[in-house]
Amino acid sequence: MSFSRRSFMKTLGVGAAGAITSEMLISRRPETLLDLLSQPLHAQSSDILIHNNENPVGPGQLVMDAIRTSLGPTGSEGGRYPFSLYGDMIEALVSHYNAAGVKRENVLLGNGSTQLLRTLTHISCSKTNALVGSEPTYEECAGYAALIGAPVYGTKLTDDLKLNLDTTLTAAKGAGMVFFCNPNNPTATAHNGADSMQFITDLIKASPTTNILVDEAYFDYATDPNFKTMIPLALEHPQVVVCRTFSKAYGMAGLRLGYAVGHATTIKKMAQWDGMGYINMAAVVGGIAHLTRTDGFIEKEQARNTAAREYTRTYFHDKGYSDTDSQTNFLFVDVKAPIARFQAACRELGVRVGRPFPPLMTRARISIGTMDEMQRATKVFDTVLAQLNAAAA
Amino acid sequence: MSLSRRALFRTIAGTRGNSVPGYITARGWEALQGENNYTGVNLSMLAQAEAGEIRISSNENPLGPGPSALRGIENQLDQSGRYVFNARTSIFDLVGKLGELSGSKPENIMTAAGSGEILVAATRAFTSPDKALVTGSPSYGQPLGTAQAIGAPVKEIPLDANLRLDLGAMLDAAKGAGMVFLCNPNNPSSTVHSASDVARFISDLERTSPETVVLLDEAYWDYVTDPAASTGFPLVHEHPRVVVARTFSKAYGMAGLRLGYVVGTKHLIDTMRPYTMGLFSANNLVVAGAVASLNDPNHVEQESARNAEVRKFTMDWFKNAGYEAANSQTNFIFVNLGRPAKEFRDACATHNVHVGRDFRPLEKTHSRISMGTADEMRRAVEVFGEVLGASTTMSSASRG
Repeated sequence: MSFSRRSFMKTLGVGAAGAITSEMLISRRPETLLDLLSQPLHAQSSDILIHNNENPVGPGQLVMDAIRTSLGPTGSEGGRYPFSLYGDMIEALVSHYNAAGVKRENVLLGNGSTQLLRTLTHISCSKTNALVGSEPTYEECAGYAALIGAPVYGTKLTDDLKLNLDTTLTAAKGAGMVFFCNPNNPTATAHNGADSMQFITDLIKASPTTNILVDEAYFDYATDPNFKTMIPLALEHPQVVVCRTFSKAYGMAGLRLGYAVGHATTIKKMAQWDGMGYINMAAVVGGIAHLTRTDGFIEKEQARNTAAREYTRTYFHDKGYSDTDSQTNFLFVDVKAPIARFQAACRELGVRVGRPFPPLMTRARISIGTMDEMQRATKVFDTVLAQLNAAAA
Repeated sequence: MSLSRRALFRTIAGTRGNSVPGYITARGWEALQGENNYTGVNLSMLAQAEAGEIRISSNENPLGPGPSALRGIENQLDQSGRYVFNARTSIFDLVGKLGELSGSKPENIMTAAGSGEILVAATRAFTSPDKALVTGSPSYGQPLGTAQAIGAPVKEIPLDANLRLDLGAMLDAAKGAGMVFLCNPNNPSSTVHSASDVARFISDLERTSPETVVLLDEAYWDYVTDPAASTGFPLVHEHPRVVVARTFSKAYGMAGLRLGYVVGTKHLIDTMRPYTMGLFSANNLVVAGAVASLNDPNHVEQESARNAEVRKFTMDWFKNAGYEAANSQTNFIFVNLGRPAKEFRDACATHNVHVGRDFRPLEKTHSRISMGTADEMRRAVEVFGEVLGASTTMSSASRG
């Protein structure tokens, strides 16, 4: 289920629970196996993969070595259940966030932040407790809401494609949960610390039973100095949970590790729903390696991304295409043509870009690969954009 | 935790040192859930396994993934930054191999982060406050725990005199139920039902309660040596309410890496899928390891043969010592020691041998012991002998 603007026209408020009918929009996971299998071509091994916001250089040698070592001299440790490692990982997070005062009871690990988004949606939403977010935003929570029959409401973005804090505040009164993806996927935009904090504290006052999931998956790529984490609010207020992931800047998308930071009572409720037993040892070993390293990995990765991001933004701006103020590792570009056609034409030429994000049907989400990949990709964009312009002429 | 693992963390952490207090021995998921009311945050009780400890509590494969899988994992390490659908060895490759193995199509298959996720998804999908779960007692506890958490009624059916699932009684209890959990071979009792018994159960259930789903958990399938038993994979095509769950945690030796899958009709798979993390579930290292193992025709055969030898050795030891174990078709035995499992477990633990947790309602008499390596079991039975006060021909011979 997507965050639909049409649904926003329904009024929410005290006593409106009966008036909210669950609108059965087409349930859509971010990726389903059958969606992908139905595509005529899987990615060829030479394709440039800039469609899923992955870190193109991965987690690096230190992490790979750590994983290899953790399997043991004969590899036999791979056969042991990894549950005893979770405590080490949580300790590493507590150390990492020592200054913020995070304690063990404030942290929950997840099989990617995917698991945590689903869990908090489960706890917060129901047939009478809606999910509210921007339209569009990352779809995982909406997909789960559809499963449990919770209504989903999407608010229209601002002109600069950010979450509209005012209308969302109004829409969220009495709702089960607000999904605040900051920076937002797919629009790449972010609200600064002051505005985010104001929004959250206003919402808590106006609607104290509404939970707020702040998804900071792209935190490490934000370069605006006014961008701030909402972890302090999460520690203070049971309604607020911040989710982070190792899938982006830490380069571990394939290993599946995320974590939630929140008030102890909320974290406990989340833990009771799903536990942590799905998380594999490589994820935890990699996570600990990242959190305890002192070689400036994240700073270097941020710099690498910023350079390639700037290069790609300049490319589009020079050609007269507008995007958004990206605080992530992807751009959201108005290609002035139907995105489905842009996507298909790029794929023919070996470049995979992001899927359509209704209702913004001329916007392409383009992930930032290596500088070399972006230099090659922009040559393909030259060809495709020229084709599309010619067709439109 | 092995020496190498602890050394690893010291190296990575530099001067951080050992900051984690109060760990107990590493155990499987069942142990944590059963004994510690594990909710995921109560981690103060976890402990590092010391080197030299014999870990035979959690039905793990002591050899781990094996050389083919390890090669697959090594070759996929540089893909750690890619999602499973973009990795060099992708989820499509795995699903293709699983299709070959199970005689089904991609639409009939779903992967997950261990078969645990499958069991939880099925229980949440097919049971509810109005639709009961039927399970053996004792049997693997995850469906039961999941059903209780969602307020679904649970009918626990005691095993028969031979410690097998009581199919007749389960059939009766299943009328109108949401789902029957048929663990075959059964954990913890290690027994298996024949192909004809399983087929008859399913046909009978289809007549008496056609809406009820049967979740056939074949986690231990690769260790079955009884020729009268056969896999439920073919049943899926004839019986629309049957799903078969498998795992890579046992014979494939990848419990640490978390991969399971389920085979069923498209309709049932589509119903279950939203209850899982879908393509964000399995990690791409285990995907590569699994594909490599599936491409190695000898792996499972060799592992099953290795286990069968160790199992026979251990079963014979207990028989000679005067203790009856169920007819094991798995990588663990379930033995009637005539004393509380906890007592036996605690005593063995003082000798650094760690056996299985309590399995109610048989915890006052029965212990579950996993099969380690041949060397480990030779050492383990010496400890068992001491703890049980036995002095048998077998143990004398091994000391002589």
